[in-house]
Amino acid sequence: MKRGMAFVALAVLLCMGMAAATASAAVDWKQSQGTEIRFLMNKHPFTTYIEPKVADFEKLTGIKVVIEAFPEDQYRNKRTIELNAGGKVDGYMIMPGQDDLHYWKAGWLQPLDEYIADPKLTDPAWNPKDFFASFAKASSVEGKQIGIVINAETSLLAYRKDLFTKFKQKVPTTMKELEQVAKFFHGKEVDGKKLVGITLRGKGAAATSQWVDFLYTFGGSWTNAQGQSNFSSPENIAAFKFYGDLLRFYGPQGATMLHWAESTSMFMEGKAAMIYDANVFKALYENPKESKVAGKVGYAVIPAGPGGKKLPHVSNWSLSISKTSTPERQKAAWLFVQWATNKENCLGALLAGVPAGRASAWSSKEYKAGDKQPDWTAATMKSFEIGQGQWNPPVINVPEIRDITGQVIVDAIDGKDVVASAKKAAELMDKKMER
Amino acid sequence: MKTIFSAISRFVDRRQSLVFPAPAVIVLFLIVIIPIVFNLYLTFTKWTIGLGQPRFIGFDNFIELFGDERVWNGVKVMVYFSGLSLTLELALGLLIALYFNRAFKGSEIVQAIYIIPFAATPVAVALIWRIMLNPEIGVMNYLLQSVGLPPSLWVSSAAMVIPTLVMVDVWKWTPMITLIVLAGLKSLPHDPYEAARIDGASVLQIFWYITLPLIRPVLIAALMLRSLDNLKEFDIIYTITQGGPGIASETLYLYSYTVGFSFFKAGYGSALMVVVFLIVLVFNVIMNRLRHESQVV
Amino acid sequence: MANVILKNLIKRYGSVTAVDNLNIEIRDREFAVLVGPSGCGKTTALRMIAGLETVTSGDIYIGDTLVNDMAPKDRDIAMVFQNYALYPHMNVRDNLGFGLKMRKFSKTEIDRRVQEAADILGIHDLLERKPKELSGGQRQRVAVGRAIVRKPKVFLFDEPLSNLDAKLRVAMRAEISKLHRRLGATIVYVTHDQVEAMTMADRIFIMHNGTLQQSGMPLDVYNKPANRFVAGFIGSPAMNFIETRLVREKDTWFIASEGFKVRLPEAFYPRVEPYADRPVIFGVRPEDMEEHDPATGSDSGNTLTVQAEVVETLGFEVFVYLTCGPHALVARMEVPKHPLTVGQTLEVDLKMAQIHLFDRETSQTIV
Repeated sequence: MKRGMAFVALAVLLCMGMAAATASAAVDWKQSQGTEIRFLMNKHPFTTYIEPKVADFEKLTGIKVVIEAFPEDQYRNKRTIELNAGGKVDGYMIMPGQDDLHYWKAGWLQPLDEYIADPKLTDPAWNPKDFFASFAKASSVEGKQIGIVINAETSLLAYRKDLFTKFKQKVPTTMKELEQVAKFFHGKEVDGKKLVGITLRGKGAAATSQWVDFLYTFGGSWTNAQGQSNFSSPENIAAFKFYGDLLRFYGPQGATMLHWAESTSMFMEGKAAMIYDANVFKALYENPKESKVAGKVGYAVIPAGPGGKKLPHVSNWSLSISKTSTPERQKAAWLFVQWATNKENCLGALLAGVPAGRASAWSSKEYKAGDKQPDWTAATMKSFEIGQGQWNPPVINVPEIRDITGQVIVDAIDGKDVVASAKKAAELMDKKMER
Repeated sequence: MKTIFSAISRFVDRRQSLVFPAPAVIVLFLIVIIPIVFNLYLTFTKWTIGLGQPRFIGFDNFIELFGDERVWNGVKVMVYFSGLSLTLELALGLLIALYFNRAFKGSEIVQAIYIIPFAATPVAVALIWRIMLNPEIGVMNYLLQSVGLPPSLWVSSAAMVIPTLVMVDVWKWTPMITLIVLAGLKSLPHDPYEAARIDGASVLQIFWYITLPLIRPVLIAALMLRSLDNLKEFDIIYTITQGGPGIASETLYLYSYTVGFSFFKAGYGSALMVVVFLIVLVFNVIMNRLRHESQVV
Repeated sequence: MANVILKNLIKRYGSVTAVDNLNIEIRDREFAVLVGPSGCGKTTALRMIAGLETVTSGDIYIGDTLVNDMAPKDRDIAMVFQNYALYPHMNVRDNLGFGLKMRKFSKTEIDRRVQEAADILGIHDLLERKPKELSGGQRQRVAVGRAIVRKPKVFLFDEPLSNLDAKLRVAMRAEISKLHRRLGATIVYVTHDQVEAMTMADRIFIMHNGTLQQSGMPLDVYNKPANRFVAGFIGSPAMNFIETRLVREKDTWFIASEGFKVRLPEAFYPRVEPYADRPVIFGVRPEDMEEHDPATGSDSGNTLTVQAEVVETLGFEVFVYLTCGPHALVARMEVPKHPLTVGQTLEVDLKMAQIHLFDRETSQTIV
């Protein structure tokens, strides 16, 4: 064992040495020596992973990096308010799918394409092609790269392998099958507990993140060709109705209050046969200390819609550079972003549980050797490949439009008139959309 | 150097009335007056934080407000929530204060336990309630079922959400009313009670004709104090429901927060805040007048 | 109207006995005053009559009814409290009418009775005012008015005048006496002020340490105190006491102490026989001392040589604080012809017929 550890340590040292050696050939890492840069970060597992390593970067470059991290809700507010006030922020974490248009229009996002193209600034080993295309696209606005992915997510169907085997059920591959399986399990008593068929987020705006996968898969969209709300289209209505009915008939009671925490708790308590939510919650499901279903869960990509389409969304956290910073500090910030997203760090983060945006990290021996849920990895890769980066309405005022959408989802769950509700929401959306 | 000091000290001596309040006035100005004035200015603008500068639009925000369904929903929820919770808190607070007012064995310990909810941090308390109220895995339904009652959806049902939030609010804040009323009861004159007993009043009549009128100013003061928080209750509602399900528990104050800090629409959000402020103000002006009228001692 | 009887009445608070075996009979229409120093149990006794305190043991009768377990409202009594106990949130009219309202009197009857009481007490102008807008004397009238509208069998007064200033107290004293004659009701009146007791009472009941010391008409109590406590409590300034011995020289009895020797009148001889050569307490009231008239002989054996220490002139009379050997005395005399100066030596005569002797052990009166 000890020998094994020593070997790994040696290997890591060698890799780093090599990386440094190859890097120094093209890029002068000391070019911004003495510059101080400040990054605002979400208290995210990636931040936890990278913070202790920042000293290595500071040693390598002579750049001083100040990282300030806050819990997510607070972080979002703080970031917006600081950037608005013109504070000294050189870089920050962003979910492009949530905030890119707003931040782009506000002039807070520095395009990175020039840095990437500049051999004096970017090491060829960094290799932009190694990132999944879906995420590279997700982190761009109007054709400009505005961030580098550090955390890549998608949503998956997770199901109880043990129960599916016991009751001889097939993993659903179409929405129709999904409904049938949910119906089959709903109300079944297992280990003294009454099961629900499926659990999903139902809480208004929060539910849109997973509902959007159903929307796309049913062939719907946020807006039509004229750029108006598409909520009244038959595809959108079908998505609202299907999602609402799933929860209403085969979901937990009080589904309109389910956020991801409540929904995943249901599944982890062994009270739901299936759940559709973010793939990263695998870490929760498979933690035997927290979850009663650890080791009993299988994973699959979203079932196909009526047209045979499977279109889940991918979402990501990226590292971006602030346009409000100075060119000198932006250059230093790019060196930091490049370093934080290099192959070693992406692999290191993935091994620490942060899903990487680099294909090489996933296909590495190190990752595969420790992978206990290969079906999860396979489903995740598939979803990354087919996924759509636009998971929010294509507007600046995303939260407001999500809120309007959420009301229709709530009405659908409550069994109200979905057509009327969607029509009302469409009118409101047309009035409120800002681009 | 010496002359500078003596010059300063001479100035301070001569202008005491200017110098001593100055720090307080400056701080007040910076943290109270400026934000209020800025807020009032914003109500006449359209401004999404981060997108350009505030644009003056006159009274458009206030006009929009009247046509906004969520404003009316917010007012309705606010009246329902505050009306029910303030009434219950006042009534229960008074009853329990009357109970504590008669010394009994161990009353200090009972009182100490009783005020724990009031002393606890609202958000922490609300988080615990949120878990307890979960219809599938919460302890509240477990308790209901263990005594043979059907489970409830609690805050997950649009019909139950306000009564449930009121229950939490009452649990948390009734002790505060009790403490204030109890202090009031202890300061009431003793003699009129004996006079009333001799005058032939029953226990209920004494409560109605003597205690209630005498404690009225204190009750109104407690109501005012509580209403300041309650009309813009945030911690409990936001932590437990964020205004849900849908907008069934979204008070006007919560909506104004959402508009301002989630939609980042500073102008409209400020206009909503001003409406909340006006409601609180009018309520308290009326209460203060009632309090003055009922003041007897 | 009714009499009030207290029979073997005892009130204990834990180990403290506030009222100790009290036996009192107050007659119908009598103005009875319970008087004594604070803590003597008089107020406790009154509150037991009112029903505001429970009875530890013994019986209370109002009229012929045993009221021990009866609620205050059923005892047909009214009470006037030391601090007036007005209802601060009601105007005078409602204060007066409250008891009637609680007893479900008709509105017209309440109005009539309130008018009547206002007539009697002259408080017509105050009817719409709140208590806080009244002076102390006016509040006192309202408190009395609240009692009289009810027309109860018995009125209970608990130190009603002690919060008033001296002048008002004198005026109210007279008014309450007048009221008593007018209403013809039984009144039980508690006070610590012996002047009030003497001036108002038909009979006074003097209490000390929870027990009744003496009862009787004011003058009887004044002239024939039953014991040293009563003698000292009734009368102002208080009676002078000196520790003395009874000494017989040949056939004559003397009362003697250091620097003090007076001859006992023969009428008292039979009663002092058992006390020969024993210590007794000698008592003389200040008003029973007068300046010695040189015109009369100095051999009557009642003359003391004393020194004036302080002289208080009240106008028509003076209080002279004297020393007689080691003893301090107060004399209340007519204004002397020659002004007294401090330290001056003078001679005073004692009115020997009015002197008192008390048993030193039992404090009971000997003569």
